[in-house]
Amino acid sequence: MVSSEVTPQCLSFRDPAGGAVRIGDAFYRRITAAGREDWRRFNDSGLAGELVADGLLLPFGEAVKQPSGDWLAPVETLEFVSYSHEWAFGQFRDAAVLTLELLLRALERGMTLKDASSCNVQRHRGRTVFVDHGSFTVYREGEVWAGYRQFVSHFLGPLLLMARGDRRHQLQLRNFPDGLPLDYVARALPRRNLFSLQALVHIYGHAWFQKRLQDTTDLRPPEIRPLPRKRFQTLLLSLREFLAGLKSPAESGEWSDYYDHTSYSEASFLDKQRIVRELCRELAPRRVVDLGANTGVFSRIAAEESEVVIAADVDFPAVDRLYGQLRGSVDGARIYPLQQDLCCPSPGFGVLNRERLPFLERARADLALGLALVHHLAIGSNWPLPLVGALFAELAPAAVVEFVPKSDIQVRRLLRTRPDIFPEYGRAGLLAAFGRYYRRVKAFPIAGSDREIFLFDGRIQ
Amino acid sequence: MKRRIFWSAAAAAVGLFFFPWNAWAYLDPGAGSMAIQALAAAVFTVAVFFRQIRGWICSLFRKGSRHGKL
Repeated sequence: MVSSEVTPQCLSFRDPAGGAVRIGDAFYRRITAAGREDWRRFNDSGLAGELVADGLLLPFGEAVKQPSGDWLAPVETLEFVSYSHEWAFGQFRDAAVLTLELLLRALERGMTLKDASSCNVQRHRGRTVFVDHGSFTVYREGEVWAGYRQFVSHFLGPLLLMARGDRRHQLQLRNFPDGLPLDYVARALPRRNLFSLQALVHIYGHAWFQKRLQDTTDLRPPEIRPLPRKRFQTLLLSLREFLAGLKSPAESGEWSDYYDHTSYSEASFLDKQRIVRELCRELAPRRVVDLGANTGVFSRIAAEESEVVIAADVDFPAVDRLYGQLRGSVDGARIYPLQQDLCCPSPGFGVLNRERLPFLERARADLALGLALVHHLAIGSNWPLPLVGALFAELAPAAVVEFVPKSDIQVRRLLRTRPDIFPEYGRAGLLAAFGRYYRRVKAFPIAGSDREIFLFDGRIQ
Repeated sequence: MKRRIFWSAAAAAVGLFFFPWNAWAYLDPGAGSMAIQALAAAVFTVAVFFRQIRGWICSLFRKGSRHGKL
């Protein structure tokens, strides 16, 4: 079958020296004859051990020789794979800084990285880790940085556009799996960036050089000046310092003051938290997906009782803020913040549309939370209620869903500028819609409020 | 003819040895990207140098104001 040729997750299959392999539920790094020398050096130099000990590289085991002649080294399984077009700004920045940090450390041990793809980095158990063990290769003095173009198109370009252009430029990465083209970034960046030395050199200058040298009928390799190691290190250090200090746009999202303008009293909000906490305790899910996570209050509650919580929200500032709060915190280690528009969740794309998997496949969980969400889908985005049920059924065998009636201020706000064409939107409609997908339901009214929380389980297969 | 082949192969071997990019790199580094790197590195080396000079000058003035005029 053709699709089995493409391994799930965007792991390297382009490198003949080896790639990532999945056998059953376990993942391995494959090392072919071409990659053997690099692998040996990577381990023997102490670089691999140092990076794993410092929590910068995904832990892995001894490589074992296979009958085919290749070696297979088991690697720790990632709980949740995400792609750069979904990341919080802080996560994106941390991934860029990590790549540079690893390059600097590798250079100290006579090694370097073959590439600089955003697929090489993942969030894992609360840390930003490098997952492409096969990317390390022997460095020869004077060698140019092979990953420079890729670093700019995967990291620097998008980050600059997100910070100094529009935060939503990030979504263009769905259309450009190998990163944003340099000429695109140069055109889209506000003109004042010509005065920024980093942008001037790495974006504008780089794009100009690229254009000048691309059209040639000359088949001889170009004459390139060597790049001395010291200069290379200076370049990397200046990039790292610049990126570490790059700030995300300071906007106030329409949702981030959400909890200040609700119909809740303090007591109702606490009761809602209590209900969700007790349900999570009772269900004991290993994996939870929190749709419309916003400030992450309920993601944190779910994280108390589970191993993995995928916290998805459409609002960029909310996701950015949530990542900022979780960063470095121990109890935040189980939470994976993500930007997702549920009306258009990340599709499968890349080679054969399987190189990157759809969000709805990756986010499958034991429990799906939909708190203060349904009215936004059903009324805000005109979803028929059965489709809302279908969304939850697609993701998890159990769902905890909050129903917000039309009398609530949040729904009245959604209907402020339009006629009420939603006669079926109501408690009975919701129960009927979800009843098509789940056999059982339990209701939990929130004290001091018109809202109710429903637990749906017993998914109909 | 054989001599020509021999010298071409020798030149290629020497060239391969001195080519400024990794033999096993699977990624196309891009001609333009390679060309600008030496320039970029030089620019930032100079920028760092100027920043160090500026820092040194500023530290002189700070020291001067601490001790007051003699």
